[in-house]
Amino acid sequence: MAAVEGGAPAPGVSGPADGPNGAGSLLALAGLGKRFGGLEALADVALEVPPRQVTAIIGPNGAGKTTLFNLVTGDLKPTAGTVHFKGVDVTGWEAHRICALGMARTFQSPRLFENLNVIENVIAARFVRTRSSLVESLLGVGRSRAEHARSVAMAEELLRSVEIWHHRGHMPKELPYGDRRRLEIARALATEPELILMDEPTAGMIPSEAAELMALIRTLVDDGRTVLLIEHNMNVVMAISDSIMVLNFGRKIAEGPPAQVQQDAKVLEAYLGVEA
Amino acid sequence: MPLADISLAYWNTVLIFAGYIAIITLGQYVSMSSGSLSVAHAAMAGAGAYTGGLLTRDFGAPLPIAMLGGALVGFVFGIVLGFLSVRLHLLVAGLMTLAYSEVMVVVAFSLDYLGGANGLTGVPALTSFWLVYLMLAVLVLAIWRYDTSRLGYAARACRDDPRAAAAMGINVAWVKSLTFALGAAVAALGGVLRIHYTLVETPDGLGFYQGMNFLILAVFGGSYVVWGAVFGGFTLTVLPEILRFSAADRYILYGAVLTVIIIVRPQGVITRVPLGADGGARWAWRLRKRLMARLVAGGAKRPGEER
Amino acid sequence: MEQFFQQVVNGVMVGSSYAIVALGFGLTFSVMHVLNLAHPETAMVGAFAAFVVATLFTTNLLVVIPLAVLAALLAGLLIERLAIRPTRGRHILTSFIATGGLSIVMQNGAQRIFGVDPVRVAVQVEGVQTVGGVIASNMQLMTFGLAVAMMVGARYYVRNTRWGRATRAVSEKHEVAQALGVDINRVSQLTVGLSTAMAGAAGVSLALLHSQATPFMGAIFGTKSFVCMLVAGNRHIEGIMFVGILLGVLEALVAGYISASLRDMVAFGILVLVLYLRPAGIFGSYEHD
Ligand SMILES: Nc1ncnc2c1ncn2[C@@H]1O[C@H](COP(=O)(O)OP(=O)(O)O)[C@@H](O)[C@H]1O
Ligand SMILES: [Mg+2]
Repeated sequence: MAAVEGGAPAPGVSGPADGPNGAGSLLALAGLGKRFGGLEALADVALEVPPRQVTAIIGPNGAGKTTLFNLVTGDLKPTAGTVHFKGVDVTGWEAHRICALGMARTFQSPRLFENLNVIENVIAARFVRTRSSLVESLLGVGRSRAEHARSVAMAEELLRSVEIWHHRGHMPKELPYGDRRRLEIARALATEPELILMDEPTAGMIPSEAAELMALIRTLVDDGRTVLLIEHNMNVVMAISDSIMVLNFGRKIAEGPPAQVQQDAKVLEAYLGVEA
Repeated sequence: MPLADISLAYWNTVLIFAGYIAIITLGQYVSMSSGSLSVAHAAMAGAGAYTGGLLTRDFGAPLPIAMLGGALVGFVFGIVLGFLSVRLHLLVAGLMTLAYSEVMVVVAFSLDYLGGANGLTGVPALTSFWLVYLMLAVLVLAIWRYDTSRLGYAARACRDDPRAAAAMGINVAWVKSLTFALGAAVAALGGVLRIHYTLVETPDGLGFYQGMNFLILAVFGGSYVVWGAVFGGFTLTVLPEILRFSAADRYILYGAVLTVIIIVRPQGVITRVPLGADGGARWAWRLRKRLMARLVAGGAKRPGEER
Repeated sequence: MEQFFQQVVNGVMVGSSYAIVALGFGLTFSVMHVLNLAHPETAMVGAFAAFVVATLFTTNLLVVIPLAVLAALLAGLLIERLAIRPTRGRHILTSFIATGGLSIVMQNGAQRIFGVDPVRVAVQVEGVQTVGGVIASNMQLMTFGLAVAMMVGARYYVRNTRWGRATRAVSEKHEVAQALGVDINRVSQLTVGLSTAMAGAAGVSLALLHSQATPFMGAIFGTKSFVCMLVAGNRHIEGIMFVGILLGVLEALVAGYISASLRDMVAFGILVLVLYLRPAGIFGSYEHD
């Protein structure tokens, strides 16, 4: 897979800040919890995501992994705890502000803009990194031309790097499932995130596709981005993550480097349902 | 089908009607581009008409000032209504616009200054065929460019998936309110042109039945591409005039056409990519694309469309 | 005070008809996720069917009412086949326009056949009941009884019958219901048929109460019923009944004490007020995400 050239982290916002919750971590969660009525989907989760690493979240279905993503990205408001991103307390912020600060995500089942074609899906995500006003765009003056050209160039670059450039003029519904996921990743990268959250990116992919995606994730990290990953495919997780957090019934049951988590009795129990 | 009364004056009238109706439908299109459901655009056009009419009648303002003033009032009403309904479910927001329309009817009805039930009269005749079509052309061009602008893409992202749009850093509430207001301003502009041709604006023209009509025109014509709105506004105004039946027969046909077309082409008559991907449609599409490329060079080419 | 109660009684009678039409609106919406704009026109069909039967054949209510309901039911099944089934699962605006087109056809078709002016529906039920000076005609009581019977029937159907339960399953999620072997087309027909049959009965009731029918009665009537459905929420049968009757009563009081010309504004007033007071709450049941 080609190197990702477009969509480097936004200038001036790179580098971790020393937040109140742990110096050196890009994302820091403390006591995070979410109730849906009577259901406690997530409770008392603490997590430090160091920069330029791959951190994975694993756990059985319904463990609360997606809910955690929704809380971090501002899609849902937590009922307890705090989220610090780049040292800023972003708890309860609206999703678009958090994205503007340098965070982007993909969804468990891709949510594309179905009435925009593939490349336009990516261009639409440039909104947050462009500034030209409607009047400038209508008259084709000022920043608008340069910004538009740059957005198109970056979009093409990103489509190449996730290898769906040949689909650029198609509508999303014409794409095979795996390519929809790739498009979502390209779209997220177009917002120039420092931290990218991927919710089960290899679901529905054949092993060779999954391997390509791992390579892509590696390039992202090499380019200075940080990845937080939800993943079911244990081969992927073990191969690619620097550290792993395990959730079960909304609670953190283990945390650490892959080799250590693999041995953890509680994890084996959660996954295999055996008394270890 | 008999084509009666082909006098020039008659067609002049019909075409002017079709022209400003197409403009108001364009306003509906812009507001819908971010996913709003509105039956308030008749009321927006009405607000523009009342404002413009008062400006020229009582303040001796020239028409351009009246147009500006009308559009501004439409924008302000639009942004307020947009903000009030942006967080509501689509249908509820639609109802909000319905309620707004009915409130506007009552306001126009009860203010003596606005002429009450008789409506606003005594407005000077300032709208001509050429003016209407000049404005239509300018607006089509502007909105065509809007569609491929930063705001236009963000709007359609909001329409397709607000949650994903927010996750991609788009301020959904702001984009939706702003585009709603811009559409309201365009509709109000159409209203200003209208009153300076018909010379009267009555409260019942603001109600939600009229508003629903503009919604139908836009959805029928196709609400995903600017030509759809123009096509819908234009054909559904001119068509009944060509079909010289009794009023009832005409509406029966109109209703039947609406039902059939929307089932056959759920995105409206004009869509971005031809739905029936048969040779004829593809051919027409390519021809259109080539023509457009010739007519208007530059900015509005949709990325990924050719190359 | 007597006059007040008289207005209330008149309002309850008309309001129960609003409620019946609103119930059908809500039922169709919650099950098929389709806004059937032609729904109130089936009430108009019922009213004109009553007119035709009463004029040409007999004024016997036991014949007039069932035939009118049957006519509305057939119209409803036609609408289902032409505009609801083909638009199922599409964007809400698609069904909106498809059924709206049919509604225009039906209104103008009726006008073509019967003319613009109201026709006289010459069916009479003699006699009145008087309680403490408040008068209710037997006709009013009969139509009210009809409305209540339909409410109870609809409630029983949805809660307690096999098809009613299938209906509720479909209203939750079409794909799931389909996977469980529920025939969605069948449910669609049943739902729309039931809804429009009730609307037909409401249409006859109105035609009998006012002794007339007009091609555009569905439009006026439909708007108000629609508001009732929205205010009460599409899934609450009792709520719809309550709001419908409340609207009828408020209209009667406004017409009686303030001005008859304001009568038709009451529905919109309620709508604005409710939107203002709880813009999101009551419509929670409209999410189909
Ligand atoms: N918006 C919501 N409303 C109510 N319950 C929810 C919502 N989102 C998730 N849940 C519930 O929270 C629990 C965790 O879900 P989720 O985070 O999606 O799990 P995972 O992604 O680990 O499979 C599940 O029981 C789910 O049903
Ligand atoms: Mg999940």
